[in-house]
Amino acid sequence: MSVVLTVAKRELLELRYDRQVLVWLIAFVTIFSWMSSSGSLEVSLLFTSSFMGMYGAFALSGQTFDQEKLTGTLETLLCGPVTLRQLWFGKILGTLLPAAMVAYAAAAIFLYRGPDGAMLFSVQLAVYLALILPALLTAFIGVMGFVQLHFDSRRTRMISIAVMALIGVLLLTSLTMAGEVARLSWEALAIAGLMGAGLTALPYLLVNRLSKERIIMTSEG
Amino acid sequence: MKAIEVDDLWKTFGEREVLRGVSLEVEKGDIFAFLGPNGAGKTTTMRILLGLLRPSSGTALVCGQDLATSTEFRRKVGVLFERHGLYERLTVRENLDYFAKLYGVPRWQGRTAEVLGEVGLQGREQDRVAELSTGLKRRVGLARALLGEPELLFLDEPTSSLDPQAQRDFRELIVSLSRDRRLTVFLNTHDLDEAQRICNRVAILDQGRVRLIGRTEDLRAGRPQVEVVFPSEEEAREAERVLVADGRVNGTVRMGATLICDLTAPVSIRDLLNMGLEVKEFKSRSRGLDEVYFEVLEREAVA
Repeated sequence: MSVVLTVAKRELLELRYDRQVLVWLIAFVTIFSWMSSSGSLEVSLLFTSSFMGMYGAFALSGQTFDQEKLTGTLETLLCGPVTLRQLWFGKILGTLLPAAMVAYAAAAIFLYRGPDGAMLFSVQLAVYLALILPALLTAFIGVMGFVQLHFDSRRTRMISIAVMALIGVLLLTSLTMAGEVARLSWEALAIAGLMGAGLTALPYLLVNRLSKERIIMTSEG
Repeated sequence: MKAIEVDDLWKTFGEREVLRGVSLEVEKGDIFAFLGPNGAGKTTTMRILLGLLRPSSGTALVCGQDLATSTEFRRKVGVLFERHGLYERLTVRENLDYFAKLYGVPRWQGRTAEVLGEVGLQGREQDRVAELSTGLKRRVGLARALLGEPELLFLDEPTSSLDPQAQRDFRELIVSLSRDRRLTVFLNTHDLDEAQRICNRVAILDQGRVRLIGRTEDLRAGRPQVEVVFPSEEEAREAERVLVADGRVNGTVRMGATLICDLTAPVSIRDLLNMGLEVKEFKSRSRGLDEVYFEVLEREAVA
């Protein structure tokens, strides 16, 4: 676990220098959340905050996975005693924290501007923010990290956007089928949570099967 | 046990054969130069040794271990690729601390300071890597490679794109590290001068095959030569005929009035005068590694 935390800490250290991306993200989140906060609150909150977080993760993960391949730091790391799963998981944690902050900022703006103040103190909202939102973000970052390790950087951007869209479609379809598309109910939370857990488990199980050869051969720009 | 044992190593990428039966051995404490032109297969061999690529067939062992499966033994191997593999936006100290923790280096704070001293980077701990010169970045990369007190160091083109002074300093550093710690160094390079200066053993790889392998001294002194300048080109041509007929000259290269002779037995200027040849200039020369290298490549090209 200490290796995972070390990787995560280094990711956070590097983010200090991504000011341009951070400023752009904050501006984007503020404007987007402000604009969308006038609609139906409950499910809009779920979608807006999770997608803002995912977009934040998408923007930041270029440094986390792709850049490490391109600069050769990943090749050096793969020569050491650290396993691929440890690296992958550390990188998820390192990206999750800023992505969650982006998502929480979006949720806060949404709630501040939204018309339905009654939802502010619901237990469902607390569960969503504390568990479901991080689970969805972890799933997205996990899948995207796996994709970025497996493919070369020319393809990963598009695949990451496709993964984001896929999560959105899956979430919306599941909620519609459960008849919970308009409410942040326990059922809706359970569906979103299960989806997050499932999508995290998949790359977790697969990452140690990734071939180092494949990673190296897709690292050379 | 050998530091490195490679036996009949083959590697193909799709239809392309990159390695075609590479075999070599490196003794502990050697500074071994793996020479060859770009695309010869040097980096592929090194990546297979490091467990990053899987061979199509054959074996590649480091201290008897296959690094593709021996995760723990990787702590004992230091690596510096041509792309230095450092986090440019972090400081020197942050980079080294990170790798020290990942390698599980005991008392890593002290060890980080120690390796910085070894590579002459005291006082630069707080500099961001991006602000350092290429030569200093390579030193930081070397410091990182030394953190785990490795038994074996893999260096891939470590002095390419360094200025002459930085090249010399870096080479001296490698030699002193190898001497002081009895460290085995596997050096991928296409710099013949570098191989000649610091390596005690050399292999020449071309088109995926080891064309030549041996001690640097043996290769250089393989066959003595003399360079003789005659008064005219015609006299050089005549001398060439006489010398080859004499039997002590194995082969010649003629450039105008100058004749370079590969000798099978010693020949002095007096011998030439006794043969009735008029000589303007006479000097004996030992072949440099560069000549051996180009001769090997040319021979293969002709073949």
